[in-house]
Amino acid sequence: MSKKVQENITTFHKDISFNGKVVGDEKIIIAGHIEGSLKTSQDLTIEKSGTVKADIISSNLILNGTLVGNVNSKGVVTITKSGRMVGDIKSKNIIINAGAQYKGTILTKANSKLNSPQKRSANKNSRLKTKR
Amino acid sequence: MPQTTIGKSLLLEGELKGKDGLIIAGKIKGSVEVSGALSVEKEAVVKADIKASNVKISGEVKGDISSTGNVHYMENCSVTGNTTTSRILIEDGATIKGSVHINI
Repeated sequence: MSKKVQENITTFHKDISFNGKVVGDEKIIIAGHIEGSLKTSQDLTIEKSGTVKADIISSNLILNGTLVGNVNSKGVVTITKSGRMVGDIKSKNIIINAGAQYKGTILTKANSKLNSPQKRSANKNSRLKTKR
Repeated sequence: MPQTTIGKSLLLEGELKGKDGLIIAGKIKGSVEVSGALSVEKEAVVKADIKASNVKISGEVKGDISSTGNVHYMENCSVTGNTTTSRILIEDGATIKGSVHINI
């Protein structure tokens, strides 16, 4: 108990299970089991041992464990190779790594920025030219 | 021993269960049951029945506290509810309303 409370980080360890509603303004790390709903204005990380059955609203989300539920993220959603997820994702940026399991619908705002892919390819070409 | 920390800005509503130690610095409504040690920090507000081994309270608790180890009420803590434990330590300045059962 002598350890000082780490500021602005909440951790749910392996053997902890929570059933209900979580609301906060700080970084949350989950290695345990959570059911219900999760809302934070900061980043959320679900560890390999973490199992979450909840709708999530957060900034960046990193999923190494299991998640069943919908995600609404203001940052980047990353599902790593050990991540498993069932549910919808609403986010501007999504990374799903090889090996990840995912089932659901993804909603990004890609349609509103039609020009950006063309610009990017143009840059690529110019880079290639300069290399030659 | 790994510990779960509920941070200052966090509000939990529901049932919290576990085998680890637990530190609460935020707000909890519902019930808390851990087999490890439990610490309620200074600005924390717990409106829940608590079951744990060792309990240390520095914040505010509304609910019954049941401990298999010892209970430590720090100064300036506020407890409204019944306490069941085998050992208890109440510091000068602690505010308590409720019955206390100390089992032998």
